Formats: sequence, C-alpha cells, structure tokens
Amino acid sequence: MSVHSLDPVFHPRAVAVVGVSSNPNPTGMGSFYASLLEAGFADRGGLYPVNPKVNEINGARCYPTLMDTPDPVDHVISQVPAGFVPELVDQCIAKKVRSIHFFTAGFSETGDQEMAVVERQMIEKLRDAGIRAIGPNCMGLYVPGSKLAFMGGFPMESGNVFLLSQSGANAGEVVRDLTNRGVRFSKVVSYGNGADLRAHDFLDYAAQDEESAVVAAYIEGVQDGRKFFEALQRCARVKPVIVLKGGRTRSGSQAAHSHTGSLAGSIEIFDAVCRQTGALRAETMDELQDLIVAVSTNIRQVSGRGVALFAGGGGGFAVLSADAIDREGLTVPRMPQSAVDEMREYIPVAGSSVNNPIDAFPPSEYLDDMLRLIATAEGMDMVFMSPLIDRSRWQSPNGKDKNSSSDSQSEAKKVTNLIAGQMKHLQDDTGTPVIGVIRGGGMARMMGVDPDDFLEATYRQGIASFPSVSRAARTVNQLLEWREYRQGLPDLS
Amino acid sequence: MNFESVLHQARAEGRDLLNEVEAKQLLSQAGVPVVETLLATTADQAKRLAGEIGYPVVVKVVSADISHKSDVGGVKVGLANAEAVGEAYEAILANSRQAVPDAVITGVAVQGMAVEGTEIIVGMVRDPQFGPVMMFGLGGIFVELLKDVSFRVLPLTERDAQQMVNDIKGRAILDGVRGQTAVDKAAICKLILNVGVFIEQHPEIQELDMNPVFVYADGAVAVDARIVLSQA
Repeated sequence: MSVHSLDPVFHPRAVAVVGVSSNPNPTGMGSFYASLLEAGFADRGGLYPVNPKVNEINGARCYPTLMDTPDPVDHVISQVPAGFVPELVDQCIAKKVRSIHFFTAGFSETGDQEMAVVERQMIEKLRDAGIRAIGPNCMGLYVPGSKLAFMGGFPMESGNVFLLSQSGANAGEVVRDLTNRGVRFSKVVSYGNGADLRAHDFLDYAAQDEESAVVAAYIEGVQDGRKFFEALQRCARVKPVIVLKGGRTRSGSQAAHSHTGSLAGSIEIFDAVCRQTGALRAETMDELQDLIVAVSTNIRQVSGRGVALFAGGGGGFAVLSADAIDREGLTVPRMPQSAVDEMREYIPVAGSSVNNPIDAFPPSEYLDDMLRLIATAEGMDMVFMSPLIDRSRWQSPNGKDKNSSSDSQSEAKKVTNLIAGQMKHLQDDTGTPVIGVIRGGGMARMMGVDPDDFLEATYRQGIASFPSVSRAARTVNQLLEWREYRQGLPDLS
Repeated sequence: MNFESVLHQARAEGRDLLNEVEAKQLLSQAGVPVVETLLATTADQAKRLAGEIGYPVVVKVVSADISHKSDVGGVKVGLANAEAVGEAYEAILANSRQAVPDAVITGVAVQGMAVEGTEIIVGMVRDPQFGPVMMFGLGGIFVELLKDVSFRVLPLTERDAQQMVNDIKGRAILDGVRGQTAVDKAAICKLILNVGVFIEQHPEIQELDMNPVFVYADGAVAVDARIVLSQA
C-alpha cells in the first residue's frame, strides 16, 4: 500500500517549537512545547524549543534559532509574530523541514490586503520547496499515536475518529467533551485559514487512513468548492463523515469572516452538498458530538423508529420524554397487550404504567424478565434506558451508600460499569439496540451516578448514551435519515 | 439553430440574455420537452405559425429589453384564430413600444397553449463556491413564499435527480393529494438530468430558469424558459 503524501505531516521524527514561551504551562492556548512534553513527544523524537531570548526551559536547552537545532527537524511550530515569519520560512527551507504549523495569526483573517498577500507569498515559497503548511492562525496537530498534542490534558490513547477543524478551540472542545464520553481520536487537525492544506486535503487523507473509521469536520468557509465537494464525495463513500458548518446565519457568517477569513456561502446549498455526498450534517457542537458517538456505536444497528422507553423518573418525565421522542421523528408505540398482561403479573396497577413509556419498577427478581419482554415486544426497534433501575441491586454489600469519600466514588463507578454491562447484556441477548439516557444535575446526583462516567462506561461497551431523551431521539432519527438518503451509495452499516 | 450559432448571434448583439424562442429551441434539442414556440417578425408570419402550431395560441413580445412582458401588455393568450393572432401581433408591438420606447424588439413568439398541469420550476445558478447548482421546486407560491426548493451540485446522477424531487417539503403534492393523481416523477427526473447534461456541455451558460414547467400524470413540458450567458 502506498503512503499518502500527507503521512509525514502526521508522523514527524522531530519537532521544533519556534518562538516558544519561557513559561511551560500546558493549560493555555499556544503552550505547544509544554503540551508536547506532557504528551511524551520527547520520548519519541527530538523536541527542540527555539527562542533567542531564553537559555533553557525546565532544564532543557533552548536554541537561539532553528538553524542551531540538531538535524533532522521534520515539523516546525511557529509561534513567532507575523513579522518574523518570512525569515522563519527561509530557515525552514534551509533546514529541509517537511511541514510547518503556523500558530502565528495576523494574516488573511484580519481582512488586511497586504497581509493576505504576505500569506500567499510565503505559502508559494514553501510549496516550491516541497514544505506543507498548516494554518496560519490555528492550533495544528493532535496525534496520540505520534505523541503530538496542541493542548494539555488530551489522552494519549489512540482511537478511530479523525477530526478536522478550522477552529482550534472548537477542536479542543470536541476532544475534551468526547474524551469524557469515551471517544478517542486517531488524528485531529486544526487548520485555521487553510492557506495551504485545506479541508479537501485532510478529507482525502482521512478517506484512506486505516486508523480512522469516522471523520468529523468543523468548517467555516469552503475553499476550492469543487475540490471540497469531490473530496467529501470520495470520503463519504467509504466512511461516515459528519460536517458541522459554522456561519450558517448572517451573524454567524460575519463572525466566520473575521475568525478565519472565510466566506460562508449559501447554507441551503451546503446542506444539499451533504445529502448529495452522503455526509451527515450537524447544526451544533452537541449534534456533532452526538453523531460521532452514534456512528461508532450500536445506533448503526437501529432498524426502525419505535422506541421502548424505560427511563424511570416519574409520570411527568415519561410524558415529556414521549413528546420529545415524537418531536424528533421517532415514535413511542403502545406496548402489545400480551406484554402488558405479563408485566401486570408482578407490577401493581396503582401508581405505575407498563404501557409505553414504562414508568414502573418490578421486584428485582423480575427485572431481567421485564427488560427482555420490553426489548422483544412487537414494534420496539430500540430501548431507551436510564441507569435509574433498581438501585438496591447495585448497592455495596456492606450497605454503605451515603459515604462521601472516594470509596463511594469508586463504588459509584463500579455500579455504573455494572449497569453498562447489563445494558450490553440485554442488547446481546435480545438483538435490540439499547441506548442510554442520563440526565445531569440534581437527578444524576440523586441517583448517585456520575453522568460522564455513565456516558463513558456505556460507550466502551459499544452502547450510545446521551444527556437527554431528546438528544438521543434526534440523533437516532438523523442516523436513520442519513441511511435513507444514502440509498444508492455504498452501505456503511 | 445550434448552441454555437445562438451564442454567436447573442454575443454579436451584445446580449447576455437569450430570448425565449432561442432558449426553448436549445432546450428542446437537448431532449427537454418544451411548448413549441416560434418567432414571427410580421403579422402574416405570426398567423401562419399559429396555424402550424394549432389553435389556441399565446403570442408574446420578444425583446431583451423587456423582462416583464405581461406588465407592458406584451402577452395575449387564448387566441383562437388567425384574425385574433393578427390583431394581437399589432397590439403587442404598439403596447411594447409605448411602454419601453427604446426597446429593441426582435419580434413576437407564437406559442401553443399547454394543458395546465402541476406547476414546477427547474433552474440552475452558479454558486461562487460549488459552481453550477441545479434547483428544483414546486411553482407558484410554493417557490415564491415558502422557498420550498432543493439543490444539487452538478454533475447529477440519477440518485441526485430522484432525491431533488423528493427533498421538497411539498412532495405530497407530486404524489397526489385530495384525490388528485400522482404526477410523472420519472419525467421530472429525466428533464432535470437532461438540463444538467446541457449545462455541463455549455459552460457559457450562467443561469437557467424554466418557470413554469407543467407536469402531468404522464410527461412534463416547459412552458417558459430563460437562459442567461456569462459575460463575454
């Protein structure tokens, strides 16, 4: 198999951070050196801080210029002010680097014609020398497999999600939020103004990248529309691709222009492009994240729109949940009479409902039977289930439940894992996809289950979970619609 | 009349807009069904063409300088015989000259009366990012008020054309509501695909509009068509 021309960009042998700050704090934006140290890049290859005004950082030698660093340097991160960039470009050419990431901002996104020309000229010069550029005005690369990270606190475990984003902060938010939900990434690239490498380049790379099974993109402006269209078409043929387009409204597109110099374009046509190419369209960050979860879990197996809702929370919650499910395009079919009769054998009529939604708790010896009954009842294409099931069953043997120590925290984690396992077991047993729903705030505290733990524990079992019934229903419906409009394209399910 | 000769003539006259007769003939050659529309430059010729097409006919002014033909009294419909066509010819010329004195009038178009069907529109715009984009929608208030249209980037596949037709919110109207019969969706798809190929073959076309197209239980026909060329 041939190596893609962008492969070296994601796998540098050595990295120089030019214009490094002397304060190695990995929490802020632009603390690339500290983030790379934390990620352990130095164990993998040369990591060289460069700043003529700094002698050493945390005991490591700081080089006055790029030319003073050992050979080879494959990747350069530029933190120098825009005015120093032309000189750095010359040094990169002399040093024979393979790629350069410009964190440096102040180019075309400012709207200044002169700076747009400077940007174009430096890119042309780099291209002539065979050097690829990411940015300017962006956060660059997070590749756990290569120990590259652009912020602190990113997990170093690799996953199968490829994320490209014009915005570095949005990329960081997706990584952090989805990390909490158990998702891991193969490669993340924030590419800002996209003066050289653009969305279509990364989509082409992602399409053939064996480490990436899911592709997600945050885009503000489409550059080279035809190339983007064709790359999206190629990529979406073979992998689920989720696209969140910023600048959908007039106010949003004005903001996009000053953020990354992007012209946002007609949103109706962009949405049509998603349908035409077979990509999934997200309208918000929540949707983007929910869809990433959906395409990498059991939601891919959902075959219809009927939801059996077993989420507890009382009668009012059941009513509002049924409303939400309906509103988002799914249905809550009535439980067949035979199933109702069977459940009534162990569930009293007063204060409960065994129709759908199910607002009832059986004695614990009947719980498994009841879940199986619900999951296999006619018309139920999936089960929505919250962890609010028979708490007594999961309590620790010594009966301590109100303990506020870390004991009770790890106990809660254990319980959460057991519940996730039970959901997986129910799904395997019945063949009906089981989808988790967990409410935040007071309800979660009352249940003693940490929402993040639940989301992560279920995801690791291949089960999708969502922070609300409406988000769960919306996501399932989007996936079903996606499958419908993909007709005529290769089957990805 | 082929595309090159029409293009040549339009360029020579400094026009970007093809007239209705030119647009329809080119579309017809591209396999798009259109209501037969012929150009007359004298009243006698108008009568003769009306006889060839068959009564009743519609007669309209043809002028690159007059875009809202009915507003200036430039359209006469339901003409049942040669006498009516002759009178309409003179009246249209007089009305048009009065309303737009310096308009260059090419002649009048004599057009058959299409049986009314479900109104749809098919068009093409050039998107600054994606290039030529096809548009489909229901005609009349659906497009004007509700903006109920669908788009696809060219080139089109059969899947694209089918999805365009089914993407609109008012698709139930095409499937037949309140006892009306369903329209011929396959004919719409074929029309969309043929227009797509026509546009691919002629990058000089900047914009194309067929509004309305009548669609029936069997078949479809473009009643009006407009083609704008890119600036020379």
